Amino acid sequence: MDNEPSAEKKARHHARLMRGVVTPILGLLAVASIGLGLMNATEWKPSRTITAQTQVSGSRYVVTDPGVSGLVDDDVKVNVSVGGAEKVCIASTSAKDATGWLSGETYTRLTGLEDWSTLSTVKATGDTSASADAAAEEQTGVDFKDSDMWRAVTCDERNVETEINAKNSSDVLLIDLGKKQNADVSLTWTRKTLPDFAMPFYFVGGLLALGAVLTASVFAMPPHRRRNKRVVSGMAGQLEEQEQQPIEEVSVKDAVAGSLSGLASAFKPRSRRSRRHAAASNDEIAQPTVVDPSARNLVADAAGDTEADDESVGEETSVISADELQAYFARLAQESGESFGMGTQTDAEADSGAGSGADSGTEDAAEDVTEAESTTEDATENAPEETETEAASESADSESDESDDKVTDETESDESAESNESESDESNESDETDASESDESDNNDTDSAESAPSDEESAEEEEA
Amino acid sequence: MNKRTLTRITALIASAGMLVSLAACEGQVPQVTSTSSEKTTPDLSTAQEKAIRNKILDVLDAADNSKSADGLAERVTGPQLDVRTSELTIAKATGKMQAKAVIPRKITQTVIPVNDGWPRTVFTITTTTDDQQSKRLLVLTQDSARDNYKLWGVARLFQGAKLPKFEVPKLGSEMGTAKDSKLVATPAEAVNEYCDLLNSGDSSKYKKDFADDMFRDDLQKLSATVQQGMEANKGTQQQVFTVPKDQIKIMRSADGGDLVVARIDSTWTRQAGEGRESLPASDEEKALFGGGKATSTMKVTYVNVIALWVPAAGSGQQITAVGAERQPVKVEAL
Repeated sequence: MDNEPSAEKKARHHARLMRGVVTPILGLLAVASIGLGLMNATEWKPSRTITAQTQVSGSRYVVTDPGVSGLVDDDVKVNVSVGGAEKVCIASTSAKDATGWLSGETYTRLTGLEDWSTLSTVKATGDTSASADAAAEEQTGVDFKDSDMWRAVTCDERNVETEINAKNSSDVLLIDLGKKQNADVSLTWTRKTLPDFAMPFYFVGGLLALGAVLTASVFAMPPHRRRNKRVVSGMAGQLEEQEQQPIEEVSVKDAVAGSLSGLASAFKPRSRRSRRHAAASNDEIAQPTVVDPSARNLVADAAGDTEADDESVGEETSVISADELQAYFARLAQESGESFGMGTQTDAEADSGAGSGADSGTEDAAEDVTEAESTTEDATENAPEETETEAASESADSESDESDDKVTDETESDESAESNESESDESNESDETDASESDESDNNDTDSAESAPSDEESAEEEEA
Repeated sequence: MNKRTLTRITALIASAGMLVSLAACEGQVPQVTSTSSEKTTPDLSTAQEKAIRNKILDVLDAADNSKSADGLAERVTGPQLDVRTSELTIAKATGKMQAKAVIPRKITQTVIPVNDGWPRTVFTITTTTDDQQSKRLLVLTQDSARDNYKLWGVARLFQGAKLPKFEVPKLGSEMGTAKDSKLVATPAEAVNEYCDLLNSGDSSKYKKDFADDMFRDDLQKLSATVQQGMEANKGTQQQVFTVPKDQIKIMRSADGGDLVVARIDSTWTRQAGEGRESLPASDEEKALFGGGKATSTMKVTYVNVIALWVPAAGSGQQITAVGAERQPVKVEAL
């Protein structure tokens, strides 16, 4: 009972935190993410045309490194312009052919993209070992544009432009400026595939929105509540209501649920008392007390039957709720009361109740059954009212299984005294629990309380 | 539970933050990936080879039409330059080119080198000519990077001669060297031995290394015929074959052997007996001799181009001549 309010408080605080703080944060982040995604799709969209340029000086030849001409896209437009009026040529060739042509020469290498609008350059010198008489060849060699080695060559004066498909990554561009002079070299690509930066933002925004929804709903609940099958919905607000939910009738579902809740109660003493409070008209504070059945004083129990005493041990099964058991026994009593004598019922119930008296869980069951039986028995108005109620209370002790068997047996034997004596052993046990049973029945029903002592007495007499 | 959710949220924010930093407007600047230069690529594409060959043949056609060797040196070199010049001289005298000088434009096969350095050699085999002459083996060479490809040699392939297999032009073939080992004889040795065969005939000690071929057969027939004539006139004749230095081009075939094309110079000296004059023996020699004064001795210099198939060592095959060309280039009266 104590931990209930603190648990509730914690749960509410947790829910408040999740819904009031975390959810708005996630929501804002989701909106920001989607907004950034939209910006990336429109304003900040990557440009389709990339032009990178540089100025070279001090060399006659410019050559790209393998792979540079096709760096951004396969199709590249090369533009070279010089100050003088020389013929400028651009050739596309393999790297080894360019190396051969450039042996012994100083040239400028275009090594890559420094940034999106600038080419990076490096000065280099071709090694003279490639061609034996490089110097001699200078004079006797063919013109640049006439060489057999180029795959394609374009020449023009002052400014030359050509489009090259640079699919072969080992090909290079070789530019002849005519003579050592300055030149502006630019490479222009038109990107066919643009990087998509919007999609990741949309994705993250979606995830954040989902997270916001989850924190507002599922994550706001304490975990044990979420796991409990008896929780109708995940809303934290319904936590308190759960405990108040009365169970009127015993059904299979409720029986199973009752079993589970009984298991949970092993870890956390759940208050059946609250349920009992709801069901019972009396307000009594239920204190869980451990009662040792063997330590009971029968006489004292008999004397204390009338006391309103909340001994919950043995009156409630751990598997079935007290309400369910009571309801069941009520029905059973109704059926058996019609066909057999009430005394038999009483004894049988007492015996069965005694047998299960040790079970603490039977308390509730006993209560339920007691209530039901006393109700039905009152209706039938048999002579030994006490016994009836007593029997009801006693039978309430036992688990429904045992009660079923016992009651059935009992009802079959009409002669109460003999049959009762044969079960004196059981009744001994039942005697001890009788007090508690009667107590419980007293709690639930004034009628049963009155008849309790007389019931016990009769039981004792039977034993003797 | 709270802590777990908070951790999750922090992770989401962190990842979102990282995304923002990555989203430069254009994306990351692409870097040049260093391509592995391990794989060899052919020096020429088939389109380039065709363009080169056509340029060469254009030059030859122009020279044929003008019957002048003036523009030849641009695209012809080596033995072929001598041969072609001679043919043009003869054509100028006789009025038309010899039939054997025809080179078809269409080809059946081309062998492209993959070597990085220079000089580079390309073997191209044409189709048969329009008048059903045999295929021609063209040898193109590029002496340096600053030079263009030139026609170095042409050998007419023998009918029925089996050529070795080469890699497809997309892959390219390796060029060989004169000292290639793993063959029944190095290419240089093979040429020397063949020269010895030509000189000594059947008494050469290399006779068993070589298969019979049309070139030697024809030569022997011709020699015998001339010998008969000489003896009738109490004259003498001799042929001397020599191998010049570094006039050899080799390509490695796909099955381990080499195809060797080499130049062999020869001289044919004829002495007429009994004080007769030794005159040019054919129209060609007459044209080459021009209006010189005949003496009792005539020396004709020939340029021979031989294509030899040198099989791999241990194959058990003989060296076989698969094509040849023979052209008198100079006729002089000694």
